[in-house]
Amino acid sequence: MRTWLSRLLDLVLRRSRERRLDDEMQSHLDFLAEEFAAKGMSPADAKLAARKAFGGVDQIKEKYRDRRGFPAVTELAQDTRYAFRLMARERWFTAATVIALSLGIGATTTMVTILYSMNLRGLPFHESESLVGVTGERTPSQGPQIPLSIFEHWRSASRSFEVLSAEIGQPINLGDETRGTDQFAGVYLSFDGLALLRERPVLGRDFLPEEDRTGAASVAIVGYRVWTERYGSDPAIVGRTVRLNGEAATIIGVMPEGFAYPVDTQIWRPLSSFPNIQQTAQRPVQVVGRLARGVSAEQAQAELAAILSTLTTVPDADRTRRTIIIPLNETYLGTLFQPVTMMLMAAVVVVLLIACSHAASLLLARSATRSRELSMRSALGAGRARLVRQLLVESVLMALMAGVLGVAIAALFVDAFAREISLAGLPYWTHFSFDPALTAIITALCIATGITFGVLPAMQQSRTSLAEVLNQFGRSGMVSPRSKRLSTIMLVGELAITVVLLSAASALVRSSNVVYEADAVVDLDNLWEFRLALPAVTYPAGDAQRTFFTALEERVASAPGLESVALASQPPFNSRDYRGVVMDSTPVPDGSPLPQTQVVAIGPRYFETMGLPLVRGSRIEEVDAASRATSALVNERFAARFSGDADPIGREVVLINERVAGAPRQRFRIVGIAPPLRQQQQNGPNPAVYIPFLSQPGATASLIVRGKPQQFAAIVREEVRRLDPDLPVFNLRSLALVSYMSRFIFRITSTVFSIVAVMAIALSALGLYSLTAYSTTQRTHEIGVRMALGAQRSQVAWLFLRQTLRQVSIGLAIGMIGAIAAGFALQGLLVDVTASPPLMLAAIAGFVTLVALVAAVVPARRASRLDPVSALRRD
Amino acid sequence: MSNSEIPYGTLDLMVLKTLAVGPQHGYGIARRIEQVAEGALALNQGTIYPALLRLEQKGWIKSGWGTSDNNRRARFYTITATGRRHLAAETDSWARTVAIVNRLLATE
Repeated sequence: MRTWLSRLLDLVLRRSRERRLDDEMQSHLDFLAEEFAAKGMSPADAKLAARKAFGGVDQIKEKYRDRRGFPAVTELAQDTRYAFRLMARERWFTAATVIALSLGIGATTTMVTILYSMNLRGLPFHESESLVGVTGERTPSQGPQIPLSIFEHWRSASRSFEVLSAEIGQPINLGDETRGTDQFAGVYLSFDGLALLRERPVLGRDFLPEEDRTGAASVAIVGYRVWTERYGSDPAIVGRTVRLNGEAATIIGVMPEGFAYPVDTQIWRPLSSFPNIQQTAQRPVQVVGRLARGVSAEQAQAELAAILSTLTTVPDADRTRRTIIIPLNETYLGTLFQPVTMMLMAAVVVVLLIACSHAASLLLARSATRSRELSMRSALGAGRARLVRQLLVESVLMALMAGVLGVAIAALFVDAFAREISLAGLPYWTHFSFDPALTAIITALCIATGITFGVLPAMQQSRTSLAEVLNQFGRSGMVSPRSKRLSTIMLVGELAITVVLLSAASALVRSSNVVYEADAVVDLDNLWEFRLALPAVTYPAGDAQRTFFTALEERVASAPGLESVALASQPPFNSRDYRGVVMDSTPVPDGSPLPQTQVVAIGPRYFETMGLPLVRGSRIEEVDAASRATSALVNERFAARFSGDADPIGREVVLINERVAGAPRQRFRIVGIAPPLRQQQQNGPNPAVYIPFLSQPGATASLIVRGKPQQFAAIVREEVRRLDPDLPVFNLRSLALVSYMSRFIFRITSTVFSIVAVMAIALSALGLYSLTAYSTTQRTHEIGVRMALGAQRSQVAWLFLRQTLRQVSIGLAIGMIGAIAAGFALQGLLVDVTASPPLMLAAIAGFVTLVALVAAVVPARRASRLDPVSALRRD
Repeated sequence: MSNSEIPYGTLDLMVLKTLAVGPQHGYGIARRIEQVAEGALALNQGTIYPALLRLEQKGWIKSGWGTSDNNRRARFYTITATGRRHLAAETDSWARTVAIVNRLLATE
């Protein structure tokens, strides 16, 4: 304690104490000199002898200082000041290092910001840690969602949750006498679904338990935006009767400003008002809950699984399905730990490492000029730890400067990403911005970067001994063989990683192109999609839906100004309907899941509207009316997968919806081969079956229209309105947009890897350039000797190129092995391309060699132009 | 083993013992230790200054400017009451340690 106080005082009284030390030592030296003089030495000799007896004045002062104040603080301040001076003096060196690092930090910061914003930032709800999503093992039909009946069992039997709520998201049409009908994102949820979030209406009240029972009066809570924009903030909105999907309903509350749970939602209704909810016990729902106090997710998961295993009324597949409890956020965004995110993270970390190794070799190369200074400092009493710290302060400062630049770079990338992904519909709490926690993460990243790239050169440099540097060479600027070997190893590593990244980037770009080309067969610019959702009250069953859609299609098709129109259950590039497949009369195997195919229900003229001719066979509408409803088309991938060598035309395909227990098996006769058209989102072309729309009408359908929207948008709206005034048309969007959104995953991976690969090759080229350039300046004297002895200029240039080629070929060899290994890991994400074909590897090898030679040839040529005389004379 | 280094940790004890006789300046302390050692110790006189600072920070000695016998300005160090207690304790402990080591070496 006393020591601390004294040290603190030292910190304040630094100058006067320093003077005191000087005085004291001087007086000691005087005493000694006097003593020696008394022994008969001359005054000058006495002084010298006094110093000898005293020991190194400066070393002792330094030791003394270490005991005073808080050396860590004072010296850090000192080191920082010194580092700034040095960086200002070596402006170019600093700039080169900072820019190289900023690329790595920028790439990593982009990824960290995106992942943090999407997965790690807390939710804007009270005690949001206890909010969870309850999901099941993913199945093709239910996804991660849970059948409603199971949710109800859980809700009544489970004790682990304070609240357990089910949600179904679906657009809701809001209409009233004065303002027409608009569509909003809506959510049907358990009566306590909002209370679960600890959110309350700002106006009116929350749902009552009795409002979530069959036959209850129809109510709704609306969002702040609906209230202010549609109803002019009229407080009388509470109690007002409106039409929701054509039915009368009372608005009972308005949610707070900004609240849009979960995704841009503006209308909330009790789950019981979801159409036909009582008849569809197998309806998958999103289950969210708030864990009871003191209950862990694992306990709750075990309890739910135990309840599930006792249910005798649910299908076996559901009873044995694994229950998984995840944080609420992941219900909407998926987990952080997915192959794609991990792969992207790995890519940016690799760039950061390359940038670090690049910065490290720059530091090592500079060590030549620093070694004299460092030896001097060491002679003046700086310990090795002190030297290392001084060097680390420098590298951390550079990393922090690079961090500022990197954040600027990251801001651009994050912005571009946010724009891209906003189309995909993120939860309303996701925003890509900085906050203190994120800033702390990034700062820590920069400091870690500074230490990472600085520590090796610092250890290396601090080892230089006085004698070695001041005596050994007698002239300035020799890099020790040790640090040169280190730079070479790092450069070879950079080259190897560059090869791996280039190969991965090329595979992803080719894969992304395959998907793009697959979509480009369609004339995307003139095709549009309208989506319609029929409310179940007015259109309860297949017949009513069929009648409506048939009437609509006929009316729109005959309207003037439209080139072509067709119905489809799902738009192309965005279909989500899968079924199990059995061919002909093959018995359905028990237990194991069936191979899946994409299923799209299409109306007449579907492929004409898309502008694609059938490969062969007949169109469904050409089949005679009696068997039309049981005819289907399959694409070539389906034929290859399920029919093998046999001609699929004439064979029968049985489609089985495994997700819905007891769903009828549908049998279709294949009448033709459909043209290639990608249906599945975020995936390449897959097997697909096209069945007649009339055989399977649904509540929702897309109208695919060819033409210019200004001509037909009004026509379509008018025809729909004539058929049903309460039905809004939504999602007028071009198929170009649907295709674009559906290729997100390909675009993001290929873009990120391309950027990363370009950064890697640029850094490698820079590294090669500077290493060769340094090597030429180191060997200036040698060049002079060689030339004086008759070496040709070309021989001198070759001297350096040969060295570069050796490094490049080792880097390439390691990189090729890495690329082939990475190819195996990557293959699963690729569509119809091989990860690392030999030809591509050869091309990459050629490209890297070329870049390397160009980078090395500049300094090598400069070396060969040296005037031998001045080269020899140079110090 | 004529000119041995100062055993680790004993410099403090030597300085305290020297000061227990009376106030002394840095040079005086160094001189006194050298005299007692009779040339058996290699002492860089400067090294006592970090030790003096350490002792002062612990409150065992205090210092102030004064004038030496030959009328030279010098900084004088004085042992404090806690310093004396510490010295007594350390002396005992040192004696015990030496005794143990001696016995151990004698058992051969």
